[in-house]
Amino acid sequence: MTYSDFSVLSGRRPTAGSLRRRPSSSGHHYDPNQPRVPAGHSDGGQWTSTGGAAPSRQDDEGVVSDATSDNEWKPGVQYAIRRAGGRGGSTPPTPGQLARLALADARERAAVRAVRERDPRWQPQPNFHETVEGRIAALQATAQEAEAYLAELVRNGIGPGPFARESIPARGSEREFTPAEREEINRIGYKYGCHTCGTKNPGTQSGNFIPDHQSPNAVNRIAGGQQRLYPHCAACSWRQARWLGRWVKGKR
Amino acid sequence: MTNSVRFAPPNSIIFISGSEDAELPPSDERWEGGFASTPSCIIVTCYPAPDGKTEITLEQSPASTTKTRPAFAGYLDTPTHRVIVWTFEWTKVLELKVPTNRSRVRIWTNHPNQPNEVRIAVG
Repeated sequence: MTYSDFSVLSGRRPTAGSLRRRPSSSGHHYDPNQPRVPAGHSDGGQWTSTGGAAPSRQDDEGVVSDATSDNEWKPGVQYAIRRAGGRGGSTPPTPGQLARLALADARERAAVRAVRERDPRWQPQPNFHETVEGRIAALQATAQEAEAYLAELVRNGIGPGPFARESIPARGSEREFTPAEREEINRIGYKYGCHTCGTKNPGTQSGNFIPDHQSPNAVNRIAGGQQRLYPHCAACSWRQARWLGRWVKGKR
Repeated sequence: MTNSVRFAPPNSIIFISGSEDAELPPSDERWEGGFASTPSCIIVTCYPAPDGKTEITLEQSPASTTKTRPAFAGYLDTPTHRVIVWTFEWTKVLELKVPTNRSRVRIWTNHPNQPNEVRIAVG
């Protein structure tokens, strides 16, 4: 048994630096809201205790040892580790399990990051685990949930779509566009299509593409940041509004 | 009683409902505009906002409008005894008091999915 097993089970991310770090007092349940150590710290980006306290000096030093510390083991955690390899056994996590865990962790992080770039207020469903297999399953469940929601966001025009190639900077959230802006959006639209669905038919009576703010204004009030304009067809613009109508009310 | 506004609705769409808690029609399928509804909300697409404004009128059902066939006819839950026209971001545009919890709504437009005139008659 190594401390890396504890790290995995405790919810810390199994990076190269953390795999041999001594255990902390954090719980062994997965918590998607678990805070991370701020940038600039030697552990920057690592998950930390849910209490939000700064890492201890001991954590900073990262003792490299397989020796257990009587004072730092929690009975519940130790029990979880002993169950980790299988049903009722005392087998520690296998290298294969740790590899699968690292893959599941990377997939979950990428999916959650992609969603939060488009919907900063999104939260995954909480899930719980006590074993390595449980933690892998929890990470996979969160990744699947995030990927499904990401597909919904993309379908509904939240964030630059799969056909987004070029864009122009938005002057702000206003929807009054200059002739030059409209000309440039039409040029991009007729070249690459609607950024969400790819059609080169804008679907408007005028034949003009619709300049679409990304992030959409409703989202950008929370997300902040510089918006850009992409060409939208009429159907995707309406669909986006219908989806945002629910999102604004917290029904999505 | 009639009230009217001429503006460019964001994303060229308006919602009509009796309250902010209305259930919007789902947006799962691609939709070419026009009308979509649930018992508590009607969606109407308008003239493309960057291209121009749409005149929207909300009125008690007058006799004159019954001569032509409406583009939409149905009933709307109005538990607050109001029919309200909103932008998709739920900014109130027009409001009309009604006497009942459920109101008959008919809508006339001058284009199937990109009208620049939308006339909503209640009752």
